[in-house]
Amino acid sequence: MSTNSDPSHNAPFRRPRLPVVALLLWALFVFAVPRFAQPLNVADVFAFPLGFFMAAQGSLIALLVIAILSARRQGRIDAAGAEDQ
Amino acid sequence: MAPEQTRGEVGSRLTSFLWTFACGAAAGLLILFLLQQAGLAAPWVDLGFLALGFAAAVVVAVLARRLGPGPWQVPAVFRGLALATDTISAPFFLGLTGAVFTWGHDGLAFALGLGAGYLLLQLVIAPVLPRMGAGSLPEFFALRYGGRAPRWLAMLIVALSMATLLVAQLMAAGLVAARLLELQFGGAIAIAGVALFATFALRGLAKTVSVRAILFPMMLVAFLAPVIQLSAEWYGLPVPQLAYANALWQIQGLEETLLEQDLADPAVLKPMLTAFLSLNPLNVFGLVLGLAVGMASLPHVLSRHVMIPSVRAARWSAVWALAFAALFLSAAPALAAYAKLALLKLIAGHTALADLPAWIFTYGSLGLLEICGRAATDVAAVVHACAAVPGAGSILRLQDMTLQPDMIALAAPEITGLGQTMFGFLAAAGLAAALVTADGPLFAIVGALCPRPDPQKTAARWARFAPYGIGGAAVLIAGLVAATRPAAMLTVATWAFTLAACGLFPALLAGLWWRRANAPGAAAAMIAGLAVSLFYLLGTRYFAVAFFETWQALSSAGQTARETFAELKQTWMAAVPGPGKNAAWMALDAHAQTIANWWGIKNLATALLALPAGVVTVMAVSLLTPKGQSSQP
Repeated sequence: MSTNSDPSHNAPFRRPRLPVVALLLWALFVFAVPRFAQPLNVADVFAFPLGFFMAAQGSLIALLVIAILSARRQGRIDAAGAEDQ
Repeated sequence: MAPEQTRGEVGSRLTSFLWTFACGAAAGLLILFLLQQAGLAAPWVDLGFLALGFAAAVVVAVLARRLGPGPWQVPAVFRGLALATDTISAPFFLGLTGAVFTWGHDGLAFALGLGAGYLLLQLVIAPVLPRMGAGSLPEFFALRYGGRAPRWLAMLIVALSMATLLVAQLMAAGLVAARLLELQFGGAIAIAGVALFATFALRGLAKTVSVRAILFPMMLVAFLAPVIQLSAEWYGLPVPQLAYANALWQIQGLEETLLEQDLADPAVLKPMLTAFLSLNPLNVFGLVLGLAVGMASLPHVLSRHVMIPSVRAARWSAVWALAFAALFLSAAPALAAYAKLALLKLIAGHTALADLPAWIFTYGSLGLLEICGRAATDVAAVVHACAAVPGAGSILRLQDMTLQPDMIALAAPEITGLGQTMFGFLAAAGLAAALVTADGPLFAIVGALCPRPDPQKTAARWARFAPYGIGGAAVLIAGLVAATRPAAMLTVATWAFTLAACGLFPALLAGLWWRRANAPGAAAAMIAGLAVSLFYLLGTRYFAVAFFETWQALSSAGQTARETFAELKQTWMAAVPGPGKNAAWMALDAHAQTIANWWGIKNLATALLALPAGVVTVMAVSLLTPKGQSSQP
């Protein structure tokens, strides 16, 4: 079983909200950018064709940046919520 | 042992485990290297690497037992490493390189799908699921929706998807064992299954997961060492993620050379840098979606890595896991490019069939490599087979070779001319990964099918052994399926992700974020998602002929493919019962598998069909039935 006590006991509980912006950015790098790999391949970055680079590593880097920024932002929101109570 | 250890204590114990493990692995590697240098015969050294891999898995199991049952505060880095080990797991560790090698640019979709999965887990699941106080997915469904149906359906889907994942893990372990012992696949699977069950039994049923964190550095080192060495040797830049750009351009040049010199058939050669030659954009979309959503609904990942810690810890372990996994995911295409470059150079060098390198026959004997349509077991077999193929002379051509994607990562050190130590360490790490991470699906199956013993009562003797019985049965069934080699192990793993995604995710998502979702909606969504995905996966793989005939109108097959189907069908109908008829059926079925589809959607992209079905069902049924009582987060 989990260490967390039953959530209903934690009186006024602030319901988290979906991180919509982060999810949109997620969809952009995961679905939109790879879709246009072929036209992107015209450009080069670090000697890679851009479309290949994005699918192989660029999108992963972008995902990691989104992950870090979003986790820090959510942490701040949680902290602010805890102070309110 | 104190029941509650602080974050610092657990952290320092895990750090010391990590160092002990790393020193042990390095010592084993050094001994094997020295033995090899001293002239020990190659099969014995291979056996040593097999022992090293098995020992690594055993050490992880023993340390997990020593750390004892949780839960404690584990530092986020270790949580992330453990999550990365569990999700990359053996089929992806040993299969991703082959995907990029075989499908070129489109193979990158697998890496992208996994990477996307960590972020989806962090953004959508981690903020709410830890607050629910559930210990496993079936428990979550029972808590959130009440009633029996959602819980029972969740158990069923967990068992099905995790059994599929277990098949992929066993295929990976069997592949390594087959290669190192030079055994046939069936026997190797049996050995792998026994080893897997042994580590499972040794580890016990405690929910300790953080110890597997110590395995991921070994996997990373074993994978990165050959890639870094090749990058440094070939391009003077020991950063594979940058250096392999050179290899890509060389590959492009060689591809043109091969076409000019008539060493490659334009119909077979798919330029590595060109997108959407193997999978069209729709299929890439569906594959990435299925893997990403699948990772966010994998039962063992959720119960071990998301449900136990706090919201904050769950979030940061996903971030760390993505960071560590990205190191591997971005290096796998580099190894694929190096292997491809070495192979194309071999063909461009007008290599005679009599002078083929030894690795071709090693993998030919395992049934993973064919030349001119026959397993390349030795020179005579290859020459004999190619004599029967019109146009094939005494020179190796690209279109005459068929390499199974499964073999590429393991074979890459040999294809590129690296030493036995590099290969052996990679194989050992792959085996350890398979044995350690297979317990994820195994525990999920046991947890779903085995009633939790009541701590108040002293359990009956059979109840204590029931988990092992169920685990053994699961390994046995998965082993029997794995021995038939249903598809590339990466494909099988993708099917498992797809089943978990389509069956569980719509109801999970609605349960976490939509108050109105109720038990009938969740149950209907699970039935719909599971039914559509199972129907499509099984239909296109195992009942391809019937599937194509029933849904001809929806298939994307062209005129020629339809005519070929009709001809093959005629041949099969006309053949007299016996081996001839069986062969005709095999040909018909193989062809049908390429054209049995709806709108050109391959079974790798099943999520495209089943996920919307689940989402629409949960919304429609929830709104049409009365509001349920639910314990909302």
